[in-house]
Amino acid sequence: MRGDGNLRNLQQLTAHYNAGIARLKPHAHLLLLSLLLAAACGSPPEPQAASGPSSPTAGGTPRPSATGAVTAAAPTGAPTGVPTGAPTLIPVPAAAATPIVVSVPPPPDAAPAAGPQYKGIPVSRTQDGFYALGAPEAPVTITDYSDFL
Amino acid sequence: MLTVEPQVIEKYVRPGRVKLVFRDVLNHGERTIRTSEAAQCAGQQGQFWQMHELLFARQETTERTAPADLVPLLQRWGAELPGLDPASFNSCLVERKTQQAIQAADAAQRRQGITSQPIFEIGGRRLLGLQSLAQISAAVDAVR
Repeated sequence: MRGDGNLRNLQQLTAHYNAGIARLKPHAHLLLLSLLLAAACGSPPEPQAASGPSSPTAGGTPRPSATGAVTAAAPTGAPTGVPTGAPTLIPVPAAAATPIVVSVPPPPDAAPAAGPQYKGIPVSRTQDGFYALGAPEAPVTITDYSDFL
Repeated sequence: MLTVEPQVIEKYVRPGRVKLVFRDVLNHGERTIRTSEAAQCAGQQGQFWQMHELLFARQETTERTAPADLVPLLQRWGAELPGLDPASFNSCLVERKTQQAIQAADAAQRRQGITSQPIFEIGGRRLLGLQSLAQISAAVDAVR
């Protein structure tokens, strides 16, 4: 009798197990998808270039993420309202995704240093220290109030 | 004055008929005061007018230069003037040895109505704004 009881218990356990599997079967694909997404989101970040965050990536185009979505680079530590496991595809227009960096070198000082136009002309100073060009006893004085811009 | 100054110099100043005085008007912030200081510092070594000419010729570069970069720029330009001692010129700029006098003169001028530029005073007459050689000549001839 004892052996029959064990057999019955085993049969009951097997029946419970099969019933559980049957209940889970419709959701099996969801479980598998969740596992794959968790693995994808948890992967280590790709190595970044040594330059700062403002430097464009090689080619100037953001690279696709592991989920296949093209995302714009976000500043480190930026808060994200999207829960883990619920990726959001953000389409980025090509024009916005490609930064245009224009480097303009400083212009050379085109104008030459002072020429000879003042050579041989007397220079004096006013009582309050401003510079005068021309004979101190010249009959007419032109005072030029100006700046160098 | 920038455009007609060489003509005024050749026609009136060099022959001894006119004395030309330049006085600073400080209306454009750091760039104005720094360039005025550079001219005064060069003047301490007898090269005010040479620096004056150089600053006018390169004013577009001055306008494009950030205020923080003005002193190095002006130091480089000072080094281009033959006979100017760079060490004295640089210390004059960095220590702002002429700043106070320039600002005091500007304040005194403002009390007399000099609040814009350019303004020309010729024989007691004030001409506001840019003037042609003909206009300046007419004012000079009216005095004589």
